[in-house]
Amino acid sequence: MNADALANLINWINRAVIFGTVIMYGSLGELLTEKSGNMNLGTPGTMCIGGAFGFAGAYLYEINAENPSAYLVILIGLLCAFGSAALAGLLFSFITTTLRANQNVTGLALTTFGLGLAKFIGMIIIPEGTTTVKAKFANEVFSRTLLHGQAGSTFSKIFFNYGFMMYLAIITAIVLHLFLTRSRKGLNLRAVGENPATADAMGINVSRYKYLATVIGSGIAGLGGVYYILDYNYGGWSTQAALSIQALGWLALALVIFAIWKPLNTIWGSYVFGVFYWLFNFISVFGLKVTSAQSSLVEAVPYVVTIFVLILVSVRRSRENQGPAALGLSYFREER
Amino acid sequence: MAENTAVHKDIKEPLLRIEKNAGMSKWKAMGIRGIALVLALLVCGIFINAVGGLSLGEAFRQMWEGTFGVIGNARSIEIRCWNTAIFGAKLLCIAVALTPAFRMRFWNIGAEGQVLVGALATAIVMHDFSDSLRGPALYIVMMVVCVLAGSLWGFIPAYFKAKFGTNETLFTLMMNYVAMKMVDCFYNLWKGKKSSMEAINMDTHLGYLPDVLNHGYTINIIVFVLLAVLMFFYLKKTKHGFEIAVVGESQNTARYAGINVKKVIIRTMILSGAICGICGGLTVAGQSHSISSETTAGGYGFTAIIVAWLAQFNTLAMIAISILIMFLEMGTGQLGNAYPAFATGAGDVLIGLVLFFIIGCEFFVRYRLIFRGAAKRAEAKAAKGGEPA
Repeated sequence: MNADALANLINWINRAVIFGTVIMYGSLGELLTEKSGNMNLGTPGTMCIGGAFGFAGAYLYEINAENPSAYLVILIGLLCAFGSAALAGLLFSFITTTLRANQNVTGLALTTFGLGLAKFIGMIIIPEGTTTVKAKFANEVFSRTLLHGQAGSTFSKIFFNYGFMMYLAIITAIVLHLFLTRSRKGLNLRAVGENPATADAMGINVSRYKYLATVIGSGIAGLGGVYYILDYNYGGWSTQAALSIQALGWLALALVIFAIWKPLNTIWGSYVFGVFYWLFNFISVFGLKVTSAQSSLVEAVPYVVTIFVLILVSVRRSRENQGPAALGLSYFREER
Repeated sequence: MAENTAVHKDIKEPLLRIEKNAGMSKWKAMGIRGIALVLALLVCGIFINAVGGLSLGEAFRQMWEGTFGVIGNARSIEIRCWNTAIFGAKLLCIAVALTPAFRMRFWNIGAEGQVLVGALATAIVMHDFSDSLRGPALYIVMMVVCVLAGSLWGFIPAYFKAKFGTNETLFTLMMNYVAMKMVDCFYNLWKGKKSSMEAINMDTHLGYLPDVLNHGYTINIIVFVLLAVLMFFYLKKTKHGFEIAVVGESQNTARYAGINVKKVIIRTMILSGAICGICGGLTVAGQSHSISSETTAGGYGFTAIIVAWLAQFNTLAMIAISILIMFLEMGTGQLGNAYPAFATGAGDVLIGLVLFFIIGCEFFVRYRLIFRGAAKRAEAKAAKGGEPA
């Protein structure tokens, strides 16, 4: 392999991993939510909200502060994103858990609302007459890599060429895995998602688990939005960016299935999605050329693969690889 | 008996209890929904006022003009009403297509994709076969392919649901994106080196629906409304409709009654997909004459889910909700034109707010809240009234 192709390949892996990290946050959040039996189709909208508010917080801080501090910009960006997205999750929980409305319908409405709100917030933030604005300092902080701009070996270029959020996503996945499989509370949560009536009889507060899982899950998904803006999109906000986050949100939902509801699977799963997503751009590595028409078909690959996984999971019917049994159903104690 | 009451006293009654409310009158239910709508519009008004600083009345006037035209200006009313009619009819048509599936408790989230493949199939025929097929043959083929494509997109998830119990919500959701990417592919192919795709058969108008009442899409409106009426009778008056209802209530009951559940699921989803396909095909032939993954279905496949669910299979309610959504969509579009503060995003925020209220209010229709001591008060009241007798 010549040097040019190698550089291309590394670049491809880098883009794929950064892309994957965005949807990994989204799908980890959705996974936690779905474990409680709540199917939140509002995740794309939630990610938009997180992206818009996280960006707004970081941007307003950096243009107003004399000497913006790196720690503060991280703190403000993440808090705004997590907080706003968690509020969206709270709204979803209230309507579906307390008011027992249908989850699919509520989720779709939340996606409409979230995308609208994100565009709206963005429009207020950016100066009049412009369509896009960059949070330069925040971008610098979020995309600062362990390499510090040094050349580095091939190995370090593949593994250390990312901002801190990429590693945070992996840690989140591992923590989520340990929580769901090793802790009492995680076990309770899974019981709620599998069979809320039994969980209720065991003395578990079903509503509280559903609320907490959805609110925290939405918050995690919101981090994906802010990561998209401040790192993947080089710190730039535009209405188009909000639309892109929404599109990635749907992919995040797909990833939950692809990972068969296991947090550790989302780590490599998200990177596989990323590799497919950027395939058309780097396909020249293999000495192939594609037109823009063909590249659209390549972009469909993650969805098609997800469909196959979905079918496979249902055909094999092994109990371990199923989604939560009560997924998408509202629970009412007196309804049997 | 006395012991029993004593035990009862020790258990603290919860502040709020929730009970299923089966026998609410239709009027009361409508009243609750009406109140929710008024509250929603009030919240919207506050939002509009806070953002744009204009009064509720002014905002409402703008939205009305955006949907139904300027009162007193015949030309404006004509333009706006036609525009609202075609988009409203399209939304209604997709909601109608989803209704049998939802009645069966089959979550068809894939209307967007089913509309798109129908549109794509028709567009391919228009683009590549309008030379070899002439006259009625072209139109017939255009319509047949959109029905076939739509029903195929409905059949695939239904087959796996019936056979293996594959989760249909996620399956149909993914099918949307496959359809979108396919449309993107042909869009890029036909666009060639130009910046955007031009209308198919722009010069020859081959395959375009004829103008009726000066509009190419009059036929669309008629067909969409006709489909809504037919669906109403299909669900209410036919054996198929009955079977769908039974399967939706309980698959076990259906099985005991000798209904072939798998067949009903597949048949109903083929129908659902076919109607979506027709909607897509007619949109290309009569309205847009081109395809785009963003505007051909325009998110209506998703909005229609909300419409169909909220209407609870009631065709009249479906029309009313379609008009409400049109009012919000067209109205906020007009608001955005008049006031830059509403140009991006505000429309979706308002639509979302109204939907939250309407979705949430169903709770108060289905359930009853009982506050602490309500039973005691009722008892006291009854004792008071009952004593003389």
